[in-house]
Amino acid sequence: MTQFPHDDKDKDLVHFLRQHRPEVPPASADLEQQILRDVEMLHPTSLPLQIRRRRSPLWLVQSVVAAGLVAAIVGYRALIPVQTSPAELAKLETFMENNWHGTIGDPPDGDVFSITEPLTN
Amino acid sequence: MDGGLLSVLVVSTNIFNGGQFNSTSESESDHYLVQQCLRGNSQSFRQLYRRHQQRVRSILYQLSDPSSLDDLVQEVFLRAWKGLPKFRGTAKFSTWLYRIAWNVASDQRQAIAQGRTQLRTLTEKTPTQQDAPDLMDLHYQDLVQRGLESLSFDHRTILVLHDLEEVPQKEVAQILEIPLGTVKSRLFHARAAMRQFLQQQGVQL
Repeated sequence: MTQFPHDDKDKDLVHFLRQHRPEVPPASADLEQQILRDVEMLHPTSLPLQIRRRRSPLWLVQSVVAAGLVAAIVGYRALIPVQTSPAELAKLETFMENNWHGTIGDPPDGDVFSITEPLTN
Repeated sequence: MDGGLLSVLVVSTNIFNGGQFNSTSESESDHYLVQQCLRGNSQSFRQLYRRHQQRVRSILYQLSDPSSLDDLVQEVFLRAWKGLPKFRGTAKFSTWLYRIAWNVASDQRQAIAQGRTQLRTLTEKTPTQQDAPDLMDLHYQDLVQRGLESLSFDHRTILVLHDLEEVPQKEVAQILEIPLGTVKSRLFHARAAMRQFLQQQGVQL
């Protein structure tokens, strides 16, 4: 396993590097102003992001509750059978009495379409 | 007390102190300034810029093309401003900012590799020298510069962040998003390579 000694050699090297590090050229006189100008121009687009970020996680709970309520109402309406009025029941009963003949028993000849030959392409 | 006055007070108690890395109180006031920025206070961003620009500038100078140093610094701070709403505050602001600086340097390095940028000129390479520089000092500065350039980008980055900018290893790991063990390993090998280069140039350490 590689060892990483922190000996005097390392200290001497680091001291040498810091002592003789290349000088960093100074910034141009108007760099700070230029950056701040750019920042001001960017400001209107960045602000909405901040607002979104600071929004409380409570919005998620509220959304889930609202969605649940809507689903419950819609489900209730869809699943509960519609109440039929007595007049509609009577009308339905009359219709069935008048039309039940012929719905059971052998169908008359000609009503059934029979295939006597195999299908060919 | 209004926000502006409070901002000035906080900043005044946390003025950059002799090249030392961020203290806890400084990080707290960085956090405060970030919050002010998020409320649209660009003057707080000015304070953040003044506090960190020198170190950002130094990192970029060692890791990228010095001829476009101002542009790169500008790029770093604009990226920071745009990214502030996404800054989660789990790391220190300075760590996050140096990460951006490293990204900008990496992007530029790749652009150079693809030949999209111009080569730097010799006059821009060493633009500032003292009025009456010591000849040996200049020689050693040149050696350090060339030594850094001789290293791989990863090793140079480690040496610049840790040994020159005095960023603690743990934060270097956060900046580069690598394990602490990798930081130690790279530092070991980077120092060995730099020492070897200096020895070849006649410097005994």
